[in-house]
Amino acid sequence: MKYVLKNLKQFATKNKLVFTLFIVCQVASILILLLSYGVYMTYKENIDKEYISTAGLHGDGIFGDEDEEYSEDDYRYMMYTIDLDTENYTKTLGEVKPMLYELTDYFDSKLDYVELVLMTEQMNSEAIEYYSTQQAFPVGITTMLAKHDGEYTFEKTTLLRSYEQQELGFVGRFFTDEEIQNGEAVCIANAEYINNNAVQTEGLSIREDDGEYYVNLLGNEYKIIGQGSSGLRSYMYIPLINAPDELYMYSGMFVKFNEPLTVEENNKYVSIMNEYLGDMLVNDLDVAVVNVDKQTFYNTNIWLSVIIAFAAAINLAVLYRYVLTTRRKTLAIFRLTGATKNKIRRIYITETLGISVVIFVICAVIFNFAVLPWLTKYYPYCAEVYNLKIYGIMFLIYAAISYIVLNAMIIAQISRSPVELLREGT
Amino acid sequence: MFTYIKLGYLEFVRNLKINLLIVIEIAAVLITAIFTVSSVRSQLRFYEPLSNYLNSKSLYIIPETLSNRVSYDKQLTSYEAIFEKIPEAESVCAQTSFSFNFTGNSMNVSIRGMGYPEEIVEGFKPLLEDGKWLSEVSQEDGVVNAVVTENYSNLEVGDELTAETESGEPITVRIVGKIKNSAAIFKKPSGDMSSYKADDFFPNYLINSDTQNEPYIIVAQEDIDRCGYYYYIDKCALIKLDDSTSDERVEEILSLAMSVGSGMNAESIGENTMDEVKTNLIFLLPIVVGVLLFTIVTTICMSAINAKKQLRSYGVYYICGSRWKQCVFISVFSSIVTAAIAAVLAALALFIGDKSGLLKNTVIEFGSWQLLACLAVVVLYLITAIIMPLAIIGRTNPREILKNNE
Repeated sequence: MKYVLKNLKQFATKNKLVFTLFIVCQVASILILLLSYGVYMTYKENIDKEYISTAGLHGDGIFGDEDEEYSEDDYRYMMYTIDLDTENYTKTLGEVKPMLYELTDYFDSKLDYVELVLMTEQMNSEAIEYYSTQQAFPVGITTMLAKHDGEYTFEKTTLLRSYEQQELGFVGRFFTDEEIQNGEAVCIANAEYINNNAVQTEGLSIREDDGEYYVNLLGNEYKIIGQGSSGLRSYMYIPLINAPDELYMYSGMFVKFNEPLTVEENNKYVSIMNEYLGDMLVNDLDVAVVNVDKQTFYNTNIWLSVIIAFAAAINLAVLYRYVLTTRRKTLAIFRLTGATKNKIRRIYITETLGISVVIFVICAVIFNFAVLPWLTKYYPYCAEVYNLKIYGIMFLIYAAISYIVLNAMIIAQISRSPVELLREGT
Repeated sequence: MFTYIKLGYLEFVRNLKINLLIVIEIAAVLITAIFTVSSVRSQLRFYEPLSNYLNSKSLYIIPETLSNRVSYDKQLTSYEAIFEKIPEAESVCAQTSFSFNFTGNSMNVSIRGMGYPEEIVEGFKPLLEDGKWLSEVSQEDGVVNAVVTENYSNLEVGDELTAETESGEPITVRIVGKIKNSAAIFKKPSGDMSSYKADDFFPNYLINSDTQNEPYIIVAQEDIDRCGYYYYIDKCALIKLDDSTSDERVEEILSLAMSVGSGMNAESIGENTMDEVKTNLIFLLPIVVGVLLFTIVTTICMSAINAKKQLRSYGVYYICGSRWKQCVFISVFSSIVTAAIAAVLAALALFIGDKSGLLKNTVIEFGSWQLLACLAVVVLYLITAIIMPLAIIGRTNPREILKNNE
């Protein structure tokens, strides 16, 4: 410690210019590092917030108050109802199954699910009018496809989740991933409802066997594993993988994403839908799409903040290197008088890192109380970005990198013989 | 002179390790300058092509076409009609619509022709998926260069379509570029006219909601005139009036425009635009200030380190008969070598970034402003390369320098 303090005193008094430069450059580099972090986080936060189309991010008056902004956890966030013209067009599940696989495979984690409501017969207006005069309406079959972590699954829609969680008369259990992936013949349905309405539903029947219910749908038998009540009653939920291809699409489908699409993704989504549904689509396929022009601007500034940080790091490296080269004579004398390499290394690390750490703390305080209030006027998000934890993490990163770089430079210097060190510069 | 250059180079080589670090540092500062200037310039991207109109006496008109309300002879739907009916008009910037006379099986799908005036062709470049913009390709006889928007019709860069001019002469329509989906293009604005600004004249083109599968094919207005095609101004025309036009006359012209469509004084567009530009530039202020301060500190620091490293050599040169002033020249030439290598390194880094696609989704460009910024950094570095040795040497003498033996 004695030598550390002595070196510091000598550095400050004998080499005033270099010492001043050392301090000034460190201050500038640390401040710019702190600034670049704030800039980086601000632009990264903004990067997805510029939209060309915001459909699905706000209420449209149908699924919520108009202009009400949905949070990302809201079930209505980026949930799109695709209306279909089933009056003039017919599509079976077999014809659109590849579409569901293509959507889930392409969008993967960005797509929460695609959900279809199907019937065992084509439901045009005539059929609907007929059934409305009857005591019961045919049972609707709901199927869906989702893909998470590379595996197909059956996503619990909000309706199913809410009934299960609130225990609103949901008895039994949900599908397991193994059942979905293995294509096991299971379903969620209300046995009593099906029993009462099967007569109205072509190709649907139910039987009981030892307390278990089995639904026969177009010749395929499914075991009921869970039963809902109230709003869930009128639907039968079957995993897509083993749903009969002969089922007919009915009125619409639901597509739910969990974040806005890029332009390329939007193009792909529209082209897939148009390819399989074509003229059957009634409404425009308008989804939230990020603005690529704004993204390029934000990307530029993100890169800028990274390059500034890099330049600041190089600045410090140049300084450290210069300071070390001015100490080579001292280094040589230490070596000649018996100091070990490790001891010399510790002396220099302590000296240089000691100043750097103190300067970092002072700069962080200056930044937090003087620079940040000014910065927040332009980048309000910065007020959230900086906290004690972030300063701490940046300090640790700064100290760690300085330690590594200094060690490398010092080791390179002290590896040379004292004679070489003394001769250098002569 | 040659001696100084040689000695300057030798000084660079003598302290190679630290000079290489300085080269990397200066290259990083140059790249930072280019990024900052590109970022700032991108905020003026929509303003600059229209600046001539927004900063002077101008009108924005939306002339009606095919209207029962307005007889053909009164319409302001062509450049000729505007110049004829408004003698005070100095220039017109309008987006026009037209149709190509495609021949044979050249075009099996519907396509919408768009004409861009010279200000837009030269002053604005949309984000391209592929190919080049109209201003980047040369004109050829019998060929009309065109840029197409992203489309489902398989129109790609390099495609050549056969068409005829109005007088029956064959021409080739060559697709030289394809505009990226969601990129901004020059087109009639929508929304509340009172809040229009320059950005609104460049709405985003979206393949699915914009065109109903009919892509745009964009050509220079002069090519439309060359082919003699009928065109009409598609609800978007800025008219610059002579500065000497009185306010009363401007009102009269505006009334004329309103009688055949609608219109407004472009002054409010200019004001809204400047407010937007100022807001956008102010948003960049912290970065610009930070980069500027950092550049100054870095150049001073690097020059000081360089001067200190070379101090012993200056002592030796002095003893051999050189003067301090000449030592400063050596320092400057050494710095020139450093700056030159740094510039090459920066150019190489940007080239690699561009070719590898790293810079694909950025607004980085290299034009005159970026070059000016780089020159400013280099000049600053050279000035400090002059000042620092003088400041350091001025306080000492050769004996002390050599005795110091650092």
